[in-house]
Amino acid sequence: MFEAEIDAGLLKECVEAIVAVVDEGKVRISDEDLNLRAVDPSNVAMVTFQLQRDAFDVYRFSNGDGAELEMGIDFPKLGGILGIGGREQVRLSVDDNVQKLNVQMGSLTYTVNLLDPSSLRKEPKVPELEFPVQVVIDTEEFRRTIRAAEKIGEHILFGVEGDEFYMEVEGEMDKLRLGMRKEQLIHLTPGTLHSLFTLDYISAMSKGMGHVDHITLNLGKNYPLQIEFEIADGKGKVSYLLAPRVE
Amino acid sequence: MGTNIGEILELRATGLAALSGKIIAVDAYNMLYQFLSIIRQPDGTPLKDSSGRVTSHLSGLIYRTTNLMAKGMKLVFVFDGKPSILKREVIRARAERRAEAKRRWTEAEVPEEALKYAKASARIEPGMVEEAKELLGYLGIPCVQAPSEGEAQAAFMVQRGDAEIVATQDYDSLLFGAPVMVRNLSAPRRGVKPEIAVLEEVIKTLGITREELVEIAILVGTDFNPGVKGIGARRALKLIKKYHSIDNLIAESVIDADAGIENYELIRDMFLHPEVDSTYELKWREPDEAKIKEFLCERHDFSEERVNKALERIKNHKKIQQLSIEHWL
Repeated sequence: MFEAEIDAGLLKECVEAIVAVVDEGKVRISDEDLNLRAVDPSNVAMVTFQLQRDAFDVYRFSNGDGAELEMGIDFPKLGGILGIGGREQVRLSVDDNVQKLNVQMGSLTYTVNLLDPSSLRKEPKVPELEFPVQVVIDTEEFRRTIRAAEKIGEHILFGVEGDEFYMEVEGEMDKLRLGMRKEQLIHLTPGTLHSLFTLDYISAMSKGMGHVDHITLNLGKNYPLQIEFEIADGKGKVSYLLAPRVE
Repeated sequence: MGTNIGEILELRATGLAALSGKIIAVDAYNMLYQFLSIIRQPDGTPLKDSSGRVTSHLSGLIYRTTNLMAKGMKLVFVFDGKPSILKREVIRARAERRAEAKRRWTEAEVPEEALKYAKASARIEPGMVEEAKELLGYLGIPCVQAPSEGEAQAAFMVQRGDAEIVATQDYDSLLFGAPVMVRNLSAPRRGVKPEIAVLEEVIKTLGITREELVEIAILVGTDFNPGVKGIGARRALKLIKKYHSIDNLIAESVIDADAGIENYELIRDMFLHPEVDSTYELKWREPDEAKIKEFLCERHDFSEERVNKALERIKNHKKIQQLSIEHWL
């Protein structure tokens, strides 16, 4: 049995963070948290999500054998439902055989059919990665650059040169570059490296960051990019992993 | 065209980037038809070269397919062979509709009207298929000739694992057993997203088998029969979930055997066991730039600058490849 109450805005942010990478996935419910790990259909991007029980106003979980429950969720659909409710408390409850999720907002109750977890893609293995460089940047600054980049090209270069972090896009005609020195950033490990990424994925991820104040980018040379941020006043974590393009 | 079961299918929107690295079996007639229908001037006139020959299909091939190639897709074009005799009626009806649309186009007074009817009058003229094959050859894209229905052949190629996705607007490919299909690949505007349907998910969600999906399509109408009047996809789904087959529906006198489902046994058999060829060979080659320019710019008056840009896109892509996360496992 699982029953919980949470702020609608917060739950919406969670759904947006996940939907930036996948449309559907298995959310695991345990005594401590809700968590999810999923990859996009082409195995290029991964999202890892965790929301602790403290982030909820009410959190009741009991499963006879103490094992986790698995809920197969269609995230765009859930997001749509939350969009109708406005900003109030949401009550969630799942029946014992995990086939239906009740979403109650005020006097509205939606009953959503859950997806069969066995029909979903298997949870991905997590690669063991070591990132030589870490950049902590203001989310709005990051998002603004990505929005500008979308008008120019399809690939974006993330790099560090000395104590400058840069993002660079080259189109057929135009070029865009954002360079930020260490003092303009919240944190930077100096170095010399860069990796190239498909902009479509980064654009989607930048829309999953909601009202987050800052994000952490972990980088390597021709290496995956990891973007991490906290939600729910530190009671939740989102991490994106994106494989690079290489020559 | 195709069967009208879209309303009961849930497709998943995706991005072109997600299709990077995939081998895509393109329903060639379907895509050429789309190009001929969509690529027009605001008053409905198709693109033409200086000798008055229509070039909309070639324009689509060079600009849109190179865009897909630049996104890392490997394409193979599958062409229709001899249409089934069952299709005769549909072919005749379509020709009539096109003739009517053409008449209205010439009479239209407002440009929007003209464009609408012009689109509806689009047809693949003799010679266009050969031109398309010639250009695809220069682009290094393999072409496969189906014995009959191109979609059936494309579905077969995906089943065999020689390709991964069928690209078409028609849901028929699911009936032919395509494990995965994608729509809107040739979409002209940025806002139109490709949509993916996975056969296994589709039938699981609906709670039916592929055989039952074929029954539903026949009830609604396919390229080979008009369908039962008054039965749409939702009602057909309900009926088949209850009765499981057209035979049972007829036995229980729910419908009439001659009410738009004539030859249903033959049609069912054609979807489930279509005529396909297994001797094809797929080989991708480097584009022959000189030949492409000679064909498009000299023979059909394409702008050399734009063609160069399209060729540049493919070359740029060759240099950079999207890796997957598995690479680090």
